[in-house]
Amino acid sequence: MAGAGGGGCPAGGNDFQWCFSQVKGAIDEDVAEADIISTVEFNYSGDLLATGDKGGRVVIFQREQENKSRPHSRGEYNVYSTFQSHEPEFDYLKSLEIEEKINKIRWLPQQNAAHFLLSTNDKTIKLWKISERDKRAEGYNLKDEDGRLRDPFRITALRVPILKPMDLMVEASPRRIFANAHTYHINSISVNSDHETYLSADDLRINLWHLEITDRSFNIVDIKPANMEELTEVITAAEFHPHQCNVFVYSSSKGTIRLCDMRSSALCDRHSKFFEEPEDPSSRSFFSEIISSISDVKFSHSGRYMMSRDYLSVKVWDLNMESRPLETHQVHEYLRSKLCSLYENDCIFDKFECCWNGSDSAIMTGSYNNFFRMFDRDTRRDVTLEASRESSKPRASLKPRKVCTGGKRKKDEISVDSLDFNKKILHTAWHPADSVIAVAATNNLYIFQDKIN
Amino acid sequence: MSAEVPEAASAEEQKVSAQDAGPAQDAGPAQGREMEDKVTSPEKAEEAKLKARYPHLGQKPGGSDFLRKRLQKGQKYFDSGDYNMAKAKMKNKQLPTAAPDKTEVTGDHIPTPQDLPQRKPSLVASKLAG
Repeated sequence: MAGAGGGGCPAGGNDFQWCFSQVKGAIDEDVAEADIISTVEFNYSGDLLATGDKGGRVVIFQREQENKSRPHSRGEYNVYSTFQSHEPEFDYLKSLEIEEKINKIRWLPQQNAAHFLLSTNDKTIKLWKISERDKRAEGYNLKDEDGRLRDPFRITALRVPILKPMDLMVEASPRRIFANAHTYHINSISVNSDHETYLSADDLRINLWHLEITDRSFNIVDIKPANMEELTEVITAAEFHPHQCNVFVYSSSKGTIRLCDMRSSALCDRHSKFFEEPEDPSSRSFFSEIISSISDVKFSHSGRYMMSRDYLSVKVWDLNMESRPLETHQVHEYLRSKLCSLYENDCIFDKFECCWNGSDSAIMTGSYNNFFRMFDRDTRRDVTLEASRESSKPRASLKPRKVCTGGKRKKDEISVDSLDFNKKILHTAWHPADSVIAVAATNNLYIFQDKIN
Repeated sequence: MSAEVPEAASAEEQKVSAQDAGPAQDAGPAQGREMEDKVTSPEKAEEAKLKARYPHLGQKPGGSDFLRKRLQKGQKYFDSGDYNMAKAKMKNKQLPTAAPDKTEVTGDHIPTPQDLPQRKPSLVASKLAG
C-alpha cells in the first residue's frame, strides 16, 4: 500500500507531507446518532467548509486570514455559522419517518456578499442564504432602541437613522424550499454551470429545478419500470458536468455510468454515453453486483475525466472512452476475502465518497478503521493515512499506515482482522486550490494541511 | 471476523506478495482476475461460506426483492400517533439531563398540568460548533 520506505510516501503531487491541522467535535466515546457527520463540502473558493449531520444540522467553518501576529493560525477553520437545516417529518401516506439527516450539501458560486448553499435530506431540498451583518441602524423615529413603539404624540422632531458598527452576526435563512418532488430517497444534488438550475436524483428519478422556482421541476430521467418486479438497478449518484451545462452523468447499483445530453431530448432516459467495465463472467459471484454498485461519481475539475467509487476500488474514466476505465485504484482489496462477514454486518452496503484535488492530479477516498487513501495519478503512488486522536498533535506529520493480510505482521502494521469496521470514513473533501483536506470520521471532522516549509 | 478457508488463505498470501511487489496498485482488473483464476477466488470462497450459512439465500442477489427493500428504507409506524409517541420516548432517553421524575409522563397515563415537564428545547446545537 505505502511506497518503499514507509517513512513518507507523499501523495497529491509535489513532494510534501500531510500534517494534522485541526479536529472538530466531541471526544467522548458515546457518540449520539445525531452527531454523525453525513456530508462535507468546501465552497468554490475553499474559504468556507460546510458539514451536515444526521441530526439535520449544518455547521459552516470559515478559513482565517493570514495573520502575522499569529502565524500558526494560518488557514485555520473556525465556526462561522450553524443552523438547523432539516427536521424529522412523518410521511402520513406511507407511515414512514422522513429522516432529517443531511444527505448532501452543495454550494452555489458566490455572486454577492452573501453565500448560498443547497442542503437536502431524503425528500426536501432547501436553499440557504448565509449573510453577515456588522452594522445596525440606530435612531429610528417610530421605535426605541429596544424595539418598543414610541408614542407618536411624543415625537417632536424627525431624525435620520444612522448606521453603527456592531459585532459580526452571521445569519442563515432558508430562501427556497423545494419539496414534494421525490417519491424515493434523494441521494444527490448538483448545481449546474449555468448557475440557474440544479438537479436532484433519487433511486429512480432525476429532476431538474430552477433555483428561483419551487413549485415545479422537470423530470429528466425516469428508470422506474412499469412493473416493479422488473426492477434491476437504481440510481446511486448524479452530477452535472462542470462546464457543459447540458451534460450530466448518473451512476447505478449495477456499476454503470450513463452520460446524458439534455439537448438531445427532454427526457434523458436514453443515454448519450454508457460507461461500463466488461466483467469476466467466470469470476462472477454472489457479491459481484453488490460490490460493483457505484456509491459516488465525480467529474474532474477539467471536465475531461470522471471518477467512480465502488466498494473496493476507485476508477478514473476518460469521457471519450466508454469501454473501460483509464485507471483503477484498489482501495482495500484485502476485504475481498472478508465479503461474507461484511455482508452479514451490512458493511458491504457502505457508501464511500471520493474527491479530486484542485489540479486533478490526485484523488482521495475513505476506508475503514478511520483510514483514508490518496492516489497520486502522476507518480502512480498511493498512501494510506489515518484520522485519529493519537496523531493529533499540532502540525504533526501523518505516518503512512499499512494493512497486512498475511500471517506475518510487521511492526506498525495492522492486520485485517483488527480493523474497526465501525470507524468508517465515508465523506472527505479536498480544498479546490490548496493542499487542505477535510475528513469526516463519524462525529469528528479532521482537517489536514501540507507541511509549511 | 471468522477464520479463513484454507484455499482463501493461499490466495491472500498471493495477493500480499503482489501488493508488496511495487507501487503499481492499479495493476488492472485483468491481471487481478488472472491471479484469482489460478487459485479458488477469495470471492467465491466467501460466497461458499455465505451459502453454507444461509442456504435459502435467493438466487438473484441484486434482484428486485433486495432493491425494493433498499427503496423503502426506514422504520414503518402504524400511524402518526405511533410515530410521535416513539419520538417522545426517544427524546426522553437522549436527554439525560431531564429530571428523573418527569420522564415518561405522557403516554402511560392521563397527565395533570403539574405532571407535565417543562418544554425542553427541541433543537440541540451541533458539537462541531462547540
